[in-house]
Amino acid sequence: MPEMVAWALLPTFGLTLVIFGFAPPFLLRLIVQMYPRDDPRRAELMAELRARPWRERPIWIAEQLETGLVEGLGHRLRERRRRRQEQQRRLLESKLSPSSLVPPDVEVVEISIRERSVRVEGHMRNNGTWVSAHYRRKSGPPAP
Amino acid sequence: MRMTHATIQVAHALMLQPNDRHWGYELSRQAGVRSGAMYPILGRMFDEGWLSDGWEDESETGGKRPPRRYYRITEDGLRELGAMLARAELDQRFATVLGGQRFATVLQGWLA
Repeated sequence: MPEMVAWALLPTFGLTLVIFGFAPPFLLRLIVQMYPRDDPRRAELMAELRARPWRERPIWIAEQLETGLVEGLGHRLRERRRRRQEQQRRLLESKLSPSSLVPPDVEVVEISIRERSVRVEGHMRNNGTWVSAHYRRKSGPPAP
Repeated sequence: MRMTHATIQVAHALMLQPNDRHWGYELSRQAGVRSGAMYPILGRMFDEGWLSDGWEDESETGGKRPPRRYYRITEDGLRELGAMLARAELDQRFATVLGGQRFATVLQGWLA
């Protein structure tokens, strides 16, 4: 009879071990991933778990999940949106006035690339520098 | 910073020992604020420059557990948290909060 009781208690013991032992640090490791990579809260929460009495850990983890979703994930999403908007703004800006383009010193430059003559013209229009390139075979008529 | 019951409770707990290091778990117990609400409050106070932080020394942990993060009140924090608590004293909404906190502090001192 006592043996049967012992076997019956085994799943309960296992479940207790999972809920209070294995699950809290494992879940917390997943939760802290919601925070940005350089956020000190990641290390802080991992260390704080050890300071909690084991009885309080499951509830504490549930609280951290809530905070992680609102604060960590929210922060990440806001940061991502901000970065994307910044990228789009830069792209638009570079289309309007290409800052990466170095305007030619002279207005017309003729260079030779692979037996083709390339004529580069720089001119100002709409507050930006525009470059047009015309090329032609050295021997043939100029290309359009 | 917006004055809420939880903010006042955390501010009060911090100002009980204004020159000491404050740890997350102990602070949440002292303030009676659940950690899910307390860490965001500490984060906002930190961003405002009212708190500075640091990490436990390895000699304190004994190398057996990861070092914990602690908070200290800055000069600005002393001024701002003091002013916040002074405003809360005059605000009827926080009468029960501060009354309860004072009672808890007296009780803790008495039990210790």
